Amino acid sequence: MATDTDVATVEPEVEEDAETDRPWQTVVWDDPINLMSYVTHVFMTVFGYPEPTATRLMLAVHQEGRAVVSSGPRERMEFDTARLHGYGLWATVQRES
Amino acid sequence: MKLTGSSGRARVRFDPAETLILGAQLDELLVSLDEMGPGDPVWERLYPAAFGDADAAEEFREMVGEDLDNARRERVGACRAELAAAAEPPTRRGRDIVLGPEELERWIMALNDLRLALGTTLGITADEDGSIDPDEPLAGQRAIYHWLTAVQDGLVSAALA
Repeated sequence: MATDTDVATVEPEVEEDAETDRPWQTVVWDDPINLMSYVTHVFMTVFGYPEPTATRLMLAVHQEGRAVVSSGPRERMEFDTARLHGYGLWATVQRES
Repeated sequence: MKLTGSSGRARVRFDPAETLILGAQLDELLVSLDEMGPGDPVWERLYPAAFGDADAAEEFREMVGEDLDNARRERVGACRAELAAAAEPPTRRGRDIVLGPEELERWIMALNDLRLALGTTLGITADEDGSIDPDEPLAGQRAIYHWLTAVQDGLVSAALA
């Protein structure tokens, strides 16, 4: 898995809050069955993204093997993930790294 | 299959042979939804682990698994019923199934369920090019998978157009 080298250059956050404030992410993983057009359609439907945004996100999943599709509080990410599972996408919830 | 559609609506028609094949796929999925469970690769794909941590994944499944399962059964069953209704009484060329935005979405999702289940069983990989080795034991299933892909692709195009 690629490491995020940009993290080192970011201004340090207030230390004591770093753990609790670190937001959560919904990640969609590439899989060989879901059609590219379908994944685009799902991103438009679930997140209300316009087609160019949804297409860019779909291509990120396809080319990088995974992409962060939303971030925020854990409950919101679980909700997004449940909706994506409803559409048969392979989605997971994780802490922002 | 004959398919016309745009602006989130579509008309789709399956001939009697296609109706048999698609109906059997939908029936099979309904049966396997009853029969399979954790550890089955198809089940793991249809109800994926949402967390890397096993306890968190289990907790998430307990929270949303039943809704997900009910929604899946409902849409597969509804498409099965529409397919059966369009075949009655039988005609040589079949009858149009008319899909408004909601029905179109439901069909797209049900076809995705079928492809996830069959594709996982077949071990579909990223470099699938649609070719079929006729000597392969599962050649028939693979042909059905590719046909389901074409049907779903057509319906998605109608939704996106």
